[in-house]
Amino acid sequence: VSHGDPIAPLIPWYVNGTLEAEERRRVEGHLSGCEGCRALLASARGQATQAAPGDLASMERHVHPRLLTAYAEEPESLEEETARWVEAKLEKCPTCRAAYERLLEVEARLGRAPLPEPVRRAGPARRVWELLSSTVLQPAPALAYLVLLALVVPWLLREGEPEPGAPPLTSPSVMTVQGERASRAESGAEPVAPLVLEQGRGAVLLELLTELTPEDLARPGLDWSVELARDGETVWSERHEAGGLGTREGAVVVPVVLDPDRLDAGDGYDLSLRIRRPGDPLDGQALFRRAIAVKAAGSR
Amino acid sequence: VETVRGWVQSVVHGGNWRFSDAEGVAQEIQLRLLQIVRDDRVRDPGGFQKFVYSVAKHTCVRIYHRERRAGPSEDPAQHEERLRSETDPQDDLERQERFETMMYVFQRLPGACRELWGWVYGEKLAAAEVGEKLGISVNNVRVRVHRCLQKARAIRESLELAPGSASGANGRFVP
Repeated sequence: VSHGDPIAPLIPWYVNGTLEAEERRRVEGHLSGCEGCRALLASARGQATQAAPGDLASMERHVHPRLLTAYAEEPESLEEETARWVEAKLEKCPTCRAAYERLLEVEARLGRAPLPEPVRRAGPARRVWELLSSTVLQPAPALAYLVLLALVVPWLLREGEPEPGAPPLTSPSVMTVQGERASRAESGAEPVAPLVLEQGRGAVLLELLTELTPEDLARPGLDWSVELARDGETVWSERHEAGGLGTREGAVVVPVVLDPDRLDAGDGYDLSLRIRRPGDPLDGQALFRRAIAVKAAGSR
Repeated sequence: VETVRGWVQSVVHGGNWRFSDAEGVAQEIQLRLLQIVRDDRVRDPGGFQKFVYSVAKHTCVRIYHRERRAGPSEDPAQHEERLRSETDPQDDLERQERFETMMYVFQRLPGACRELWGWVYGEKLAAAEVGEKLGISVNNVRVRVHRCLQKARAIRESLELAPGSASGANGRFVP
C-alpha cells in the first residue's frame, strides 16, 4: 500500500468504529479490490484484539524472550529507542534482569566476549570510558590522567575510614505482633529461621529494632525503604523519611505492617531494609534481610 | 544431531537457569529446532550454530519465566482468569501464541506508536480526539497512525520470516 492510497490511513479508524458512514462505505468498497489494504486491516484487527488497558500493561510487563535474547546477543542490532526501553525494564524488573544475567552467563560460557555490564548502552559511564579509551595514548590527556590518578588513588585507598556520621551496617532484631501473640526474633550473621506469619489472624506489625541512633540518620537526604520480595521480585515496598521514624531505648525502630492474607500461603518472601541516600555508596544496599514464610489459616 | 544437542546443552547448562527439568528443556528446544529444519526455514546455513544458540536462548528465557510463575506475557490474575474461562488447550495455546506475537510487535514499536495503539484500539478514540490530545490535525493523526500500523505489520512480517520465531507454513508462532 503506497502512501498515496487515500483509503489506507482510514483503516485503523474503520477497525475502531469511529469513521463517518460515508468514509466507512468508501473503505468497504475499496477493500474488496485491494490486497494491501486487506493485509493492513488484518494487522489493525490483530492490534485491536490486544488493546485493553490490561492487555497493554501485560504486554509491557516483561521483555519478550526473543527481544531480550537479541539485546543480550547484539544490542546494537536494536533500534535506539527499543534498546533504551529494554534497559529501563532491566532496571525495574528483577525477573527480566535475572533472565538477562543468565543469558550473559550463557554468552560467557559460549566463549564470546564477556559483556561487562548488564546495562551497557549510552550510559554516562560508557561515554566516559569511550572518551578515556580514545584519548589515553595522546600525550596531554595521558599526563592529565596520570595527575588525576595520583590524586584519586590515595583517596580510594583510605579503606576502613568510616565516613563521618555514616550509619553502621546493622542487623536489627524483629518484634512480631499478630493478634495477641508477640515474639521477638534476633537476627545476626548466621542464617536464622524464617519468620512465620499466619493467615486469618489479621495484620502483623513487625518492628525492626535497629541499632542505629537518630544521629546516624540525621544526615540530609537519607531515608529508608522496606521491601518485600518473592523470587527476587519486589512485591511491596514502603519508603520512610529518616525524620519520621521513632526510637526505643535510644535506637531507631522501623515499623512494618503486613497483611498475610494478601500474600500467598506456602510462598517464601524476603523482607529487606535498604538505605536510600542518592550519591551515597550505601544507596540501595540491603542492611537487613529476613526470610518470611506465610502459613495458611489453620494449617500446622 | 549430536553436535546440535551439544550446542543446546551448552545453553541450557551454560547459565544458572535452575530449571526443574533441564533435560526436558533441552528436548523442547530440540523439538523446536527439528520443526524449523523440517519446514525448511533455515535461511543461512552458514550461521546455523548462531541460530541454534538464539533459539535455545530465547526458549530458555521463556521457560525460565514460566517456572518463576510470573509469565513473560501474562500476569497471574489474568492467567487464572483465562484458565477458568477456557477449557480447550489448543485454543489456549493459539491465543497465547497470538498474544506473544502482538507482545513482540508492541515492544518493538516506538513509544509514540504504543501510545497511539492504546488510544485508537483500546480507548477507541476518533481521529479528531487524538488530534486534540496531540495538538495536530486529523489528517496528520491519520498519517501517523497509518505509519505505526505499517511499522507493526513490518515487525510482524519479520518475526514470521525469522527462523525460530514463527512458522511461515502454518502461521504458528514458534518462539
